[in-house]
Amino acid sequence: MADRYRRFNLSDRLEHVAQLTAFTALAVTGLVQRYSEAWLSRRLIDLLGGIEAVRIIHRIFATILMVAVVYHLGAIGYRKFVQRRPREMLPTSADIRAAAHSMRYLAGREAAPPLQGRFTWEEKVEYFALVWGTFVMIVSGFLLWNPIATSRLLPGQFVPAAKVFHSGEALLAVLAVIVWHMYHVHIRRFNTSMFTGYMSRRDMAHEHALELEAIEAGTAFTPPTDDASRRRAKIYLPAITGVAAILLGGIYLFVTFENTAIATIDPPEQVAIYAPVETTGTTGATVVTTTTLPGATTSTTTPLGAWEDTIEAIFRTQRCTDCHGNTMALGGVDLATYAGVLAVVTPGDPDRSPLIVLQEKGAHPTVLDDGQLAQVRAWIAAGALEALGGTPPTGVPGGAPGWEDPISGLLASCGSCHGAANPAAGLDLTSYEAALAVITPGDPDASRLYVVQAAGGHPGQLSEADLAVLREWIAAGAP
Amino acid sequence: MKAQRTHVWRGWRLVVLGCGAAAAALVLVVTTGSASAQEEQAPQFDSEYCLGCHANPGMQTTLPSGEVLDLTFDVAAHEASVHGPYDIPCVLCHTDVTGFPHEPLDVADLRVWTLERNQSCANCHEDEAESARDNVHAAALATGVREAAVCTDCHDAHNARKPVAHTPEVAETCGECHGEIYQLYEGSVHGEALATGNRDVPTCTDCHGVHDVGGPSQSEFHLFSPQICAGCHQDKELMDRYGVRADTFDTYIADFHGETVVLFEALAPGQETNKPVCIDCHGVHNIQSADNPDSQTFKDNILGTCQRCHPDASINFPSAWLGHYTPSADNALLVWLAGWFYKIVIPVTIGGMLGYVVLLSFRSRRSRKEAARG
Repeated sequence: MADRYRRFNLSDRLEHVAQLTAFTALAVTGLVQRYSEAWLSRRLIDLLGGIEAVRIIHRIFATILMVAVVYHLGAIGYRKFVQRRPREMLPTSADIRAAAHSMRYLAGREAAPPLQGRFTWEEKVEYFALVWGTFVMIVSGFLLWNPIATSRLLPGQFVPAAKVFHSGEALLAVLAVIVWHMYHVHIRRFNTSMFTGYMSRRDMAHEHALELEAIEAGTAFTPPTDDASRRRAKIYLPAITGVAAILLGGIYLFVTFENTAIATIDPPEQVAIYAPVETTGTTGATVVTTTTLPGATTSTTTPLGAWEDTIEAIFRTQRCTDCHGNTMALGGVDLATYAGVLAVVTPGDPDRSPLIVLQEKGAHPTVLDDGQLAQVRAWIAAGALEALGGTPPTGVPGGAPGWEDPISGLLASCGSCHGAANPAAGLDLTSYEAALAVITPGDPDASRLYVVQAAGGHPGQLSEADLAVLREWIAAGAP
Repeated sequence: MKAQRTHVWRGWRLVVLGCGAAAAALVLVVTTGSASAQEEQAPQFDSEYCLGCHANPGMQTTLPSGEVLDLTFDVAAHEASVHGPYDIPCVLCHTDVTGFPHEPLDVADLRVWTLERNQSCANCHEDEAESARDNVHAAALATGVREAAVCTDCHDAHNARKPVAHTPEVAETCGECHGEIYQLYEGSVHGEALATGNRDVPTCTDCHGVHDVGGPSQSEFHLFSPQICAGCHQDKELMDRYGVRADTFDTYIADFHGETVVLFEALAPGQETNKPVCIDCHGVHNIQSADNPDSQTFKDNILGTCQRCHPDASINFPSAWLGHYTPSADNALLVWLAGWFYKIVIPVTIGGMLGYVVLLSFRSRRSRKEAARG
């Protein structure tokens, strides 16, 4: 009579460690997917490196579990064909009687629990739960792992159905382990035989009384060591190696059967991001086209006005006077007073009036509208009267400029460089005769004085109004 | 209430700033005036003074690029603008103007001018400027894309306006630069409804944000986008108005695609995933009802949509996705039955096991007591 008896050999114990590890890893990585919105699941997923990492870990342990299943099948075969063990795990009528006994015991109609053999009916329930569960998980797992192949042969609905099976069976297995395995193996009596390989005689007497009796009577099965079993092993081991190789090949296929999805997702839309629509008015600085003024074509229909009742008001309301008059007289032009206006107007000749010339060119900060321009033109053409019924301004007879007035005045400041005392570039603009050196009477554009001034940028630059007067004077023959 | 208070404060802030600017101008006038006493009268440097010239039509100048910069200030448009009610001096924005005559304008082209002047907006609109600081347009601008939108591109300058949310005005504003996308949107189920006066449908800013508009090609946006859609599509009252189911987001995250995307969004928002979000299947700006034969999710088109990611998918494959349906006796019977199977099997099995071990443990204890009593 020994203190303890051998219950599991090294192979059994290694299988258990593989099962324990794979089952726990699969349960953790699977349940966090089932309950992916739970806080704890999120933390675990994060800890394991994200959901894709969790799925990879899950698949790695699924593969380990399937390899363990192949090993288990080989071990069963070894027991059956080489050792020729009697059936130990398959349920028998004795198990049904034992289960019925247990129920009567619970009900108080039996004084003691049933006496049982090498594996109790409770252990057999757990074993077949594991077999069934593993089968469901492998089949449903295959469908989920290979949805394209699945939907080639079966309705697409099998894929989500497989997910329900996989997920439901997992929950069932985990809860069964927590309730059934925990109670029977860890709570009722802390059973370490699966790790040590041995069970005490006392525990054997409680849980496997019939087996203990057989062992002590010498009628229990002992693995044969004779030549016949060795011969059988020599046939079985190569055969099972071949079968295992085929099964492992099957697992390899299972794992690599299909590439379900592409690795990177295409952009959902191919479209030019920047494709501006041709409109204006969107920016602070709007592009506008330059307005061109159509001459004095409307002058005949425009009512005649005079400075004091019409023209003065135009310059004021159009705010010409903001720059040219009042507090400022930009460019020496004053449009607030009649006398000031006469400096840029040639009575009787709108086309020779700098005011008109400049306005018709456009691009002035303030541009009169067509109607106003026509009014001013008509006013000038009629002699630029100060008041209706008045007389054309004196001092500008006929409106034609002469050397004495105003040209010599305009050119007075030029004399500081181009004077009689120090004629720069040999030019003296203080006397009419000398000035004719750069003037071609009748042709402003052939007159060097005009051309240089019109080009702009000369150190002593005439204002545009003065330039217009100069041009008019030359064109009139430079009298 | 809060928005209103902000608005009022903004108004006050403008007044305060305006007074400050006027005071500064006054100091300037006094000091320069005394320094150059022979000058007749120092110009009164307020908006009236500016408008003396700039209210005139046709004022313009040509920039070195050949573009014409309009210098006329449209008083009526300004008065009708969001700034109209406030007496904002010109120089509050035109900070470069220190008097008349002006310094020569030193800008190469219109865009340079716009970008330069746009800096002024942040002086008053701090929150908006802060919000826009890191947006996709600012990022593009920083890399030298001058066309990238700045404040006045959307709001205009002198006739500044605030586009009203959920109106075609918003989409049209964005469409000025994003013309192709605008065309797609116009033809979408949302865009068409918007054009008929519907104000429930999203316009550009409802999905992309306003001043903090992000880059839609970023992973963050991609991963977050289902929650943008869910913002409306989970609203049962709103969806009922159009006969659209409100459980589309829940059914999406109940499946691998949505579960993965939601987890990525929560745990690794910058990471790319190969799982689709709403717009990957339904379309982006051209999104259509699944009942529309042009839709990517119309029943005849859906296989092609699946095949974009699952190239080997065959005719049964799309039905592996339950089409946003919760399994029922009418839809996905097999899935529904499987669900019920475990709803029954799990409680019965685990309940049985639990009952057995609990009773057994009580019974064992009683046995031990009886044994101890002898």
